[in-house]
Amino acid sequence: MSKLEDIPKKHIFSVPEDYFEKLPFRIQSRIPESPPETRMRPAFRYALQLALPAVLVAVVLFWYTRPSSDATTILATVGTDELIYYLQESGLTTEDLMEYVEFDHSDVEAIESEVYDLELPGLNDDEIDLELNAL
Amino acid sequence: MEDKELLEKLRHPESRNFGFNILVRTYQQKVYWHIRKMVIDHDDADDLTQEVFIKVHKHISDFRQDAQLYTWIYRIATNECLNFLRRKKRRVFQPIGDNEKELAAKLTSAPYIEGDEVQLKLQKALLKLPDKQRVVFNMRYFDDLSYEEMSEVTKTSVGALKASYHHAVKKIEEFLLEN
Repeated sequence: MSKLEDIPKKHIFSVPEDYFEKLPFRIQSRIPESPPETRMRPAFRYALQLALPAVLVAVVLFWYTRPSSDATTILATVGTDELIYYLQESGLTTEDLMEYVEFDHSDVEAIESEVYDLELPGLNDDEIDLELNAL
Repeated sequence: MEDKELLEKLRHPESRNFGFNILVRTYQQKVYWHIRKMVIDHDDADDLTQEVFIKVHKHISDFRQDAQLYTWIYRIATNECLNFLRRKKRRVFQPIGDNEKELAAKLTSAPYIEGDEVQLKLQKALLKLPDKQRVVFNMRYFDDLSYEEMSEVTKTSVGALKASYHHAVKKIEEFLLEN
């Protein structure tokens, strides 16, 4: 007998009694209680991997470039000329302003140094003295 | 129960256990016999069958419905078998060819094997084939799978599978003639 077709097609293997009755329970007992991990499809995973850094960069840029709403920041955007014009037009006197400003020691020093270190371009000390004496 | 309905049950947490139990009962015999023919020993087939269904449970969310559920399960079972046989061959101090001798010895000594002389000779002839070719032969000859289904399971072209099967038949008949 050398032809495959001459051999009757038979299964020679068998299993213990009730094997297939018990197998589902044995398999079920090995399954973890928690639900299987919901896995993302690879395409979604790759898309997320690519998109996540871009989203993070966008969030960081938005955070640092967003318009701030605090008074100091708003005031900083107003030009010096506009401020001077506003103060002149508002009728406020220097005394009125001084009532609202509290200077500490460092502020005083900063003002003094600004005044005394003031350099007037094109004028030397002798010329300034002459100008002052002429007043 | 249709595969679509079964998958629907597996997707919902409240019906997942019930759905999985139905899935195991539906496919356990096909999976077990497919594995058993490859590994010969009942205990090994039992371990591997359990592993296959645990993997099915773990990866069921990856299953794409453009394939048939049973060919997907068959594929997992085939991979488990081939990996198991590969691991056995890689065992330290195992001389090349001893794996085939070990499986052939089990045909006559292991429990739960009942075949006449001709059937045992056929099984011994099958053990001479490379494992992948043995899978192809078993799926076609014993399980009556179509070449298209086999192609889906093995991700191999139909032409290559036909050539592999006919080559396997030729080798088996040569063995039968010599023995």
